[in-house]
Amino acid sequence: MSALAQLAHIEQPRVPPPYGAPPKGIWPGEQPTSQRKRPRPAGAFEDIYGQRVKWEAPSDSGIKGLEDAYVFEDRSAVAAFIGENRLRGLLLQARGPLAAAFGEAAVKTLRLVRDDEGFRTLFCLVMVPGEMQEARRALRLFDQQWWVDGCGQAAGKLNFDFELV
Amino acid sequence: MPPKTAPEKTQAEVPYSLLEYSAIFKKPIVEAFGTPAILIAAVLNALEPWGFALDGVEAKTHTEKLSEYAVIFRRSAPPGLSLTLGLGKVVVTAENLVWAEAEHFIAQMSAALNAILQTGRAEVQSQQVHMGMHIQLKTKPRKDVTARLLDPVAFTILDGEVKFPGIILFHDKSSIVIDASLAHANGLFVRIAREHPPEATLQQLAEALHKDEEQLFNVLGLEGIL
Repeated sequence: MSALAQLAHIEQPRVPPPYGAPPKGIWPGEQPTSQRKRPRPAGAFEDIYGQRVKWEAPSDSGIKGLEDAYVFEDRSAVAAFIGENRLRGLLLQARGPLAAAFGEAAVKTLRLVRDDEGFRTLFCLVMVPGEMQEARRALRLFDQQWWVDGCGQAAGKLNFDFELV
Repeated sequence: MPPKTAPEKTQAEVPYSLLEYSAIFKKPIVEAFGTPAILIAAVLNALEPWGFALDGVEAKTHTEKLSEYAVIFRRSAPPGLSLTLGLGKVVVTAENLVWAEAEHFIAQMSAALNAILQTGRAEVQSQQVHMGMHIQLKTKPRKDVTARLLDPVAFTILDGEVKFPGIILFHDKSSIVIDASLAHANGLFVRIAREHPPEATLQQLAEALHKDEEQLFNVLGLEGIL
């Protein structure tokens, strides 16, 4: 996670009383300055980054826990498909093995693909910036270490692949 | 000479956003809260046509500080919109607004603010708009989108691999934070804040915000529905 995001846990300066104390620097005690305090949010955005607030955006319970791991292409259709086919558990379990094979930073996109006969499959496509051989090696590792055992539960509704970028 | 081609845009979606509007009063409207029923009735009357009802009104009265005393008007359906009226300010928060609904939103908030200004005899000293949004990038890693915002020298400040380069910019009356989203994979969290003079209309505030968001998408090379 980013350095900035991690700063969110640092105690933030309090919102000054509207008609009172003189303004202070952004980081009290660390910036000896008389610089006027920046306009601060009054309500929901109480810390300087505002991300702690409501970052757990309300989402379909069928995809809870997946939002921070996967990029959704056609969000509502993918979410509905996951719910209908009970794929959430598998996708949650896949996060670790995917990270082990492709790296923590790899972007993983969920895309619904319909074949010529109308059969729909949810693909998890891992964006790989490297070369084809490297991507194939990572996918093979993922298959051997986890997917071979897990694919039976997916009943053909879920698959994993990579996309070179 | 080969024709110039525009750099490919990165497809992006805003899965969640939160708008906060605040109007700070010149003086606390203590007298108006002396008989709050009149003020509450005026605001509720103004908001009722837009889906607000008595069931959504809460009084936050058990506070030690008078500045924390507030009446909160929440819209029940669809949820995600509230107006909090205190002695020193009024704060409106709205989730997942889309620009197609901007006129509708401005109309309802204008009605409520007019009721507060007239019935509560409030005078606005300043107005602030904060927009926080998670922007999920579909076609490019987020690190690649923000890396060019920073001078390479910045990456040498600390050792080790940079996981995500974000920025914070403070201007005189505005600021922007671009961070990695904690909620959405390959997402950015962006917070834009801008202070406006008391005479600015909500329409003008909305236009300024829209311009900021468009400029954000342009600078980051993003394409998607705002």
